[in-house]
Amino acid sequence: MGNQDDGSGKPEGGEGGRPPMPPQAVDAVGRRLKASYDRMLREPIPDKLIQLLENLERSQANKTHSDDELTHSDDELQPDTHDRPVQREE
Amino acid sequence: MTASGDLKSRLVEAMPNLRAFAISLCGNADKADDLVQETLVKAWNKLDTFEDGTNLKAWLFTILRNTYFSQYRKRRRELADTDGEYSSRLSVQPQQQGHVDLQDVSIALNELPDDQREALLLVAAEGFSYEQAAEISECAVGTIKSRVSRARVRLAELMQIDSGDDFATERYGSGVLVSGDPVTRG
Repeated sequence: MGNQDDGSGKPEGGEGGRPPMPPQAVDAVGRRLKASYDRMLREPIPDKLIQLLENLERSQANKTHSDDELTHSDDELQPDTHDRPVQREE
Repeated sequence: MTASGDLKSRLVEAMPNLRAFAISLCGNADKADDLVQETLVKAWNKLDTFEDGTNLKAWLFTILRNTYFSQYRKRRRELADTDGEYSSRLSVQPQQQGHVDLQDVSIALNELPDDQREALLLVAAEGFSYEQAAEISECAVGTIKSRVSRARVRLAELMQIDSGDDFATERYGSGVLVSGDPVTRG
C-alpha cells in the first residue's frame, strides 16, 4: 500500500490520486463524532467516581469541621494531601 | 472552602464530560476512569487556585489533559506499537462497510495523533470555542484551528466516508452541518 498516508497528518486528501475529502464527508464525521460523544455523556457515572467525590468531600469536612468525630473510616480513596492529619481544635 | 457542597454538585455535573473526554483521549474506559479519578483528586487539592466565576469545566479539562499528556500518553504509545495490524485492518475495512456505526468513530479517533484528537474533541465534541480549547491545550488559537481541521479530514479518510455506501444519504441528504466555527459558550 504505497499510497497509504498513515500518520503524516497531511491536511488534505488527494494523496496518491485519492480525491480530497469533500466537505460533506468531513461534516458527516463531525456529526458522527458528536453523536458518539453525546452517547457517552449519557452513560451513568461509575460508582467509584461518585464514591471518590464523597470521600474527598468528607476529608474536606474533617478539615473544616473538626468537631465531627465520626468520619475517619475511608483511607482507600483519600487524596494525597500533604496535610492529611486532621487538625483538631484543642 | 465552605461551599464544598455546591462545588461537589458542580463537579458531579462536569463528570460525564470529563469521563467522555477521558475515554475518547485514552481509547479505554478503565484507564479513562483512572484518569478522571486522578483529575478529581488533583482538582480537589488545588481548588484554591480555581478562580470563582471562571469556567470550572475548562479548568477541569486542563487538569485532565495535562495529566493525560504527562502520564497516560506514554502508556498509550507502548500499547500502540503492537497495533500496526490494527490500523491496516482499519484502512482495508471490508465487510464492515455495511454497518459502520458509532463505534467506528471512536476506533478511527484512536488513529489520530494525540494533539489532533484532543483538539477535535474539545471543539467538535465538547463544544469549547477555539479560544477556550487553545487555553486548555496551552497553544495558539491558530494551532487549534489547524489541528481541528486536519483531524476532521483525517477522520473522514479513516472512515472512508466519501466512498461508503452508508454515507451516500448522509453526505447529501442532510442540510444540517456541524462544521464551521463552534458557538462560543459561556
